[in-house]
Amino acid sequence: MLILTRRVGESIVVGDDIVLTVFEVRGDAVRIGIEAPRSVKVNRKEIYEEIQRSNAQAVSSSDDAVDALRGALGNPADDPGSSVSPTSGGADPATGARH
Amino acid sequence: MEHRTSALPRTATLPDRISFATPIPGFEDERDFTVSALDAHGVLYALRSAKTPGLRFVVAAPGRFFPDYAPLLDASDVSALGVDDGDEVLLLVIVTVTNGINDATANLLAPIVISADHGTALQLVLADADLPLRAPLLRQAG
Repeated sequence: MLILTRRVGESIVVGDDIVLTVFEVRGDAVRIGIEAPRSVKVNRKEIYEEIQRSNAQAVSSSDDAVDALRGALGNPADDPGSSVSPTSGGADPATGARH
Repeated sequence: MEHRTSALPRTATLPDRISFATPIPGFEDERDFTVSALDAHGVLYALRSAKTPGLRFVVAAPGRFFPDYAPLLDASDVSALGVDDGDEVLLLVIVTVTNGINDATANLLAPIVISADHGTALQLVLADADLPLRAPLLRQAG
């Protein structure tokens, strides 16, 4: 890992079009400005990792639990049932085939 | 430019297949998924990996559970999805249900948006919005 020392107001350039600028240092907190192209996603690492973990947990939802949830959601009061659209109602859940 | 997503209306047509423009965090090798309805009410859907058998996300149209939930896409999301003005962008939330239905949660922090016109998808990270990663899906009855 490259480690650089910067002062407030100084910047680091990454590649051609990403600039990181130190705006403020207060105690153990650093405010950093990030200029990057729209196509570059910038996220706090811990949020990204939380989403990774949440996604990993989501794919482990058991079929039984999903079936139970389907049952619990069946016949919603606000759904007349007769107006189910063929596009969402005709799919075979096992294969996803809709033809 | 901001682009408003639309909670999935009952008549919405999800594409049969979607391809993530940017992989879902944690699933960098999975881009292509099939979409299938899990019920006749347009509420629950399964996204199944086209590549890895058994890998599936359960997702829900959020409108029934979170009627006020309507995140906006920013310009980079619009560009990644390849949508144009007037294109419909459909919104789904990933559901996690492990022990029982009362534990079912939806990820409102990082929803999935899908362009019906292009078959493209993204998992947004709404980091500035202070939204829950695990919002209870069902209110406890009684």
